[in-house]
Amino acid sequence: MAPLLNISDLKVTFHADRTVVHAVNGVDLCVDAGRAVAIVGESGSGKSTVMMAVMRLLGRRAHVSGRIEWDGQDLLALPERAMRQIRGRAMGMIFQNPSSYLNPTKTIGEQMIEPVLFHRIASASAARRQAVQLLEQVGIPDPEQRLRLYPFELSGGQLQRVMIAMALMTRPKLLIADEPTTALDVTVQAEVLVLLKRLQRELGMALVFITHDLAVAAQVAEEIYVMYGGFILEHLPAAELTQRKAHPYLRGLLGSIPRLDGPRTPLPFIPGQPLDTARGLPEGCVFADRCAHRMSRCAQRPPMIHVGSGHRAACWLAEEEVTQVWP
Amino acid sequence: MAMTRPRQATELARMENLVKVFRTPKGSLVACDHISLRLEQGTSLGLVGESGSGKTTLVRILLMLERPTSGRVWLNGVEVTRLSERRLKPHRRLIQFVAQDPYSSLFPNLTVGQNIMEPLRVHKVGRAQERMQRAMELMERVGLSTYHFYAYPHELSGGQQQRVAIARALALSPQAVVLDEAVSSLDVSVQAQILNLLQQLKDEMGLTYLFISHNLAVIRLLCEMTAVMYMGRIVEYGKTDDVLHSPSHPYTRSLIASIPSFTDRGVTPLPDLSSLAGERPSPLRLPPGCAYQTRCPLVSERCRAERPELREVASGQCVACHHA
Repeated sequence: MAPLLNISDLKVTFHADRTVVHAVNGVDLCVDAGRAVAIVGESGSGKSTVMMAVMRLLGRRAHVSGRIEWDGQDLLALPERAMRQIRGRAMGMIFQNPSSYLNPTKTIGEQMIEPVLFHRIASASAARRQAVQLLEQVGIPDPEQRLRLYPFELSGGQLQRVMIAMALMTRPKLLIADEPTTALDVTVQAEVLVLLKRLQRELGMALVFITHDLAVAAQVAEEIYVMYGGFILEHLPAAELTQRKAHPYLRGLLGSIPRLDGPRTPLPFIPGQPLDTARGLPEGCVFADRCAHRMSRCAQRPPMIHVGSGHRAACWLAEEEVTQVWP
Repeated sequence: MAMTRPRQATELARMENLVKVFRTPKGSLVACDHISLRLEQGTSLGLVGESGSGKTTLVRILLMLERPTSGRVWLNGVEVTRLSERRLKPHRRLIQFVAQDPYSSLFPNLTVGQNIMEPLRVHKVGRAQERMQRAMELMERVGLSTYHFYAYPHELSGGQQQRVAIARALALSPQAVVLDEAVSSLDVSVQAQILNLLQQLKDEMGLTYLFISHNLAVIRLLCEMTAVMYMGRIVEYGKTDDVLHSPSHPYTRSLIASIPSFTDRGVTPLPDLSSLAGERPSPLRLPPGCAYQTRCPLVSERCRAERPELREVASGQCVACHHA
């Protein structure tokens, strides 16, 4: 079966006055229908830009190349009118800060119904009934009354639930969630994650979860893509994250996260600073200047090398049976 | 109770029965509800709780940026609650502050060096030459090249900016540093570097931290004691290891279960939804009795009627719960 979303060799550059920002540098990413996929990376790694390119929401300053196939169509070649039929309908999106994406002058109800009317999916009254039902599903008590409220009258956690319900109004095949829980308290985050996961399973919807938090990614997704400097450095099943991680960057990241059960000794960390994509790209491996395992070969950029089933890493070490090299 | 024992020689700060009420158009908001807490030299304290639980208000009172509605604050045995601003100033040097977002907490129009020297200037410490030397020393101490002395904050990375903020907090050689989510906005690889720095400074300079964070794994690295706040009240207090490994309050338990974290066996699973049920009460209309009753799986009649007081359930571990 063809994947729902198939991104190949996606490149995005932003052109400012004198500089060129190489935000995404040849990303291959694939989402099957009903799958939960996470894109993990630090700030500036290009993880959001990839999905913004998929939604075609990058402005004119962005130069996008490569191929984005959605349900067999080439999204980058699609006229804007046709794109509007997909965006917000078959592809839903939720963001980090719901209060800045909701219209403060319209009630929750008006905003929930809008996409249904825009896409002429159902009548206003049917949409209203659906909104009530969805609010109930996302755990908002007293939904009929809440529909009449304005965004400022709800808490951050409730707004994020409303955002999720709103994105589900059009029964999307894919939900893109960009750091949806980063601004929330841990207990609220857990609630929203449990909810997202449950809805994704029940509705058979694919999920692309963008986050900087590896632990959250491992909880929510089945597959994880790790990005750095606009490149995908590793793609692996979530279940293999702790045991079979291959790339030194991913190893470094995992090692630097303080654990509830770890020793209280100083944390291992990745020396140096994340790659600045505004300063041009290195010839070889993007991670080489921070890597403890750098060798002469790293002057040449490694391709994605097969490590195991559904597991690839962009590191020359992966060629030499990673498990042998690492303790 | 452990927190209100008579003052000892090592006591840095003591807060007794602090209440802070904010009047709002919709009613009174009790941000701090009878809080008593001690900060002892060399014993760092972690403060956890969700947003709106009163952590920041408590810290603002400790820093004397906010006067309590009632209750008293001592710094090194001197009661500072009602001191005038002029007489308060020498006490302010003892406790310094590092905020979450390093960039917005630095002066954008001052160089790195000037930012670090600013507290020295305000408190009239040393001559210009000495201040400069001190700032250079501090930069080295926090792992910043003195090459950045004349740089402006926006020219530095987030991690470097946080190092500047830490250097500035250390300029007056404080006894204690309040860190409000000081590593939360940093990327993990950078966060580890700053955590290591904080650990190292604590050991070398004998600093005491009051560390506000939602990340218990981070608190565990830096703090010997932990206090858990909920709706303006302290619901659990004890040694960090005890709070983490044998949490007694149902809220602490749900908090720990909610933290996504890695262990030897992989990632912690998403918690069971039933442990997360219930709505948070409006802080303007807290129910009588226990504030956690609306979400608590153990709730009983007594919880709805009678407010649980903080009491010692095990050596040094205090819990405000009828069922603990």
